[in-house]
Formats: sequence, structure tokens, C-alpha cells
Amino acid sequence: MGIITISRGSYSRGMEIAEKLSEKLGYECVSREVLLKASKDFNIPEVALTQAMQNAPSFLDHLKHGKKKYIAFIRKAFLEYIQKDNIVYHGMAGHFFTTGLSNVFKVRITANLEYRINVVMKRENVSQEEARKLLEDLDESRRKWSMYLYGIDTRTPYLYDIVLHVDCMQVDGAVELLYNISKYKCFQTSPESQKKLKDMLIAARAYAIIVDKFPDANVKCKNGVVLVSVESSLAVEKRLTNKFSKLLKNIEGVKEVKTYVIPFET
Amino acid sequence: MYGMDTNITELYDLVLHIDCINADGAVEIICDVAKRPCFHTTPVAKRKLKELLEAAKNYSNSSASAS
Repeated sequence: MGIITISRGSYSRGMEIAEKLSEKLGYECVSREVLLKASKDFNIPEVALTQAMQNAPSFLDHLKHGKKKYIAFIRKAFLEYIQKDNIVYHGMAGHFFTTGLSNVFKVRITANLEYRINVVMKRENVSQEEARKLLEDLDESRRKWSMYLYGIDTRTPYLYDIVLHVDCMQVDGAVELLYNISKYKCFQTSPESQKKLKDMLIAARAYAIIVDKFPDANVKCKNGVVLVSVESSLAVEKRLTNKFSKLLKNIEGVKEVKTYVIPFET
Repeated sequence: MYGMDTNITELYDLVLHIDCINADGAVEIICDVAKRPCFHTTPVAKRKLKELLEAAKNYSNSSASAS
């Protein structure tokens, strides 16, 4: 029993590895399904969610928090999905969405630029220069995306349990290695990890409800007790407390809703 | 020295976070990977290493004579 997230550099054959690994483990392989679920749950076109996950933030995103809202919806759908367990997820943000869940095996697949250029040239039928430009643009867009949302470059090794360079090891070698590591005790689902994931899901559901009006709110949950921290005037503390309680108390598993108002700096 | 951040994962074949895997697990993984055919020493690799060594020797000798 376990959950594996695979972050893949574009054109690094990460999808192939995820599919083969899930087959070998007998786990469900998930990627686009998360977006489809979020699209259905929140009635938002899949294309808008895809753009939120792929494109660098625009000037409007900084002002309107549109990307933040969509990511909150996707995160909720993602956590609901992985709660089923025995999942290999490949795509963006899995490692961010599972930060704090140490039993989730977080993998990054990468390859050197020349290797990726060759893959692009074959797949997209473009010249070497076009392939190089395409990869540079994609990498920069992803870097900006993760910096904007999480303040960390996705290439930072601290985000993952293992980073594999596929050039030399090849797809089958990587699959075999990841299969062996996924059997380690530390990557098995336990009652404690399930409890932690449940709290994380409650917090994600709560944030998805309030993100539209309170994009900068910080929502946490421990043992079913939800804590919403929000920057506001102390004069409206009571009103906010009642509002959050009313909005969030019916989420499955919520025992109590607490509100912490951080006074505006004057 | 090299114009690159050592934290950039593209520099390595394998990067391991030992928090969860632990030292023994890391040893096991590295041994497993090291046995893969692509990491075996070949005549071509030996020749390349020899060339690198020669270049390094020449560079250090020229640096020593210049100073």
C-alpha cells in the first residue's frame, strides 16, 4: 500500500516510467484524472485548469489570484484521489500537494538537455534549435509557476526522496529501481499517515470553499479541528469567526472551526 | 568555479534524500544503480579518463611554470 508522486521534467520520459511502474505495482496511474475531477466538482473548463497548472502566472494572476483559486480546486481533487491509496501520480505539483506526508514516495525524473532535445526532435518533428527553444520556454514557465505558488524551483532536490537521471539508466532501469524503493517500510501507508492525509484533505476542502473571498487565508487541520488564519481588521473578527464556522462546519470530518485574525499592519 | 548551482539536480545521475530512506537504504540503492551496465567502466571510458588526466596534468604543469 502506498502513494507515489512523479514529477517529470518535460520530455524526460516520466510518463512512460509512471505508467510502467504503476503496472508493475498494480497501482492506479493518475494524471489528467485529477484535473477532470476538479473540472467536474467546480464546473470549470478543463482547459482553464490545465492552463493554471502549466503556464507561468500572468500579471492578472497576481492581482486576481485566479491561478491560486484553480490550484486550490486541483489540490482538493488530488488529495481526494490519493486517499484511495495505491496510486502513482505523474504530473505537476504532486510533490507540493503532499508536502508533510513523509510516507508519500516523491520522485523526480529528469534528463540532460541534449537527451531531451533529441526526444523533442523525434516527437514533434522539429529542428534542434526549435527543440532547444521549446524546452527552454517550458522550463522557464514551470520555474515561474512554482516560484509564484510555492516560492521553490521544482528543480530543487530537497523536494524529492529521489531524483533520477533517465539518460543512462533508461526507462526500464528506472522502473525497476523505483519499484524496489517503493517497497521500503517508510513509504508504506500507515494508520498515522492516513490520519494526516485526512486532516490535509479537510484543510484543502475548507480552503477551496473560502479561496474566492480569502485567497491569502492559511487553513490547517489537526484531528478534525480546522484553523483558519486570515489577515483582517480586528473589528470584524467575530463576523469572520461566525462566517467561517457556518461555511466549514459541514465538511465531512470537521469537529470544530477556529479563526485566527492577524490584524492588518497600520 | 563552474557557473552552476550544486543544488541543480541535472548535475547528477541520482539524488537521494536520506531522511526517510536512511543511510542503509541509500547504500543499497547506490549499489544497485552502480551495477547497471551504463555505469560499468568500458575501454572508451578508460581512454576518455586518460585524456582528461593528461589535460589536467598539462594544465597544472603550465600553471606551475607560469607562477
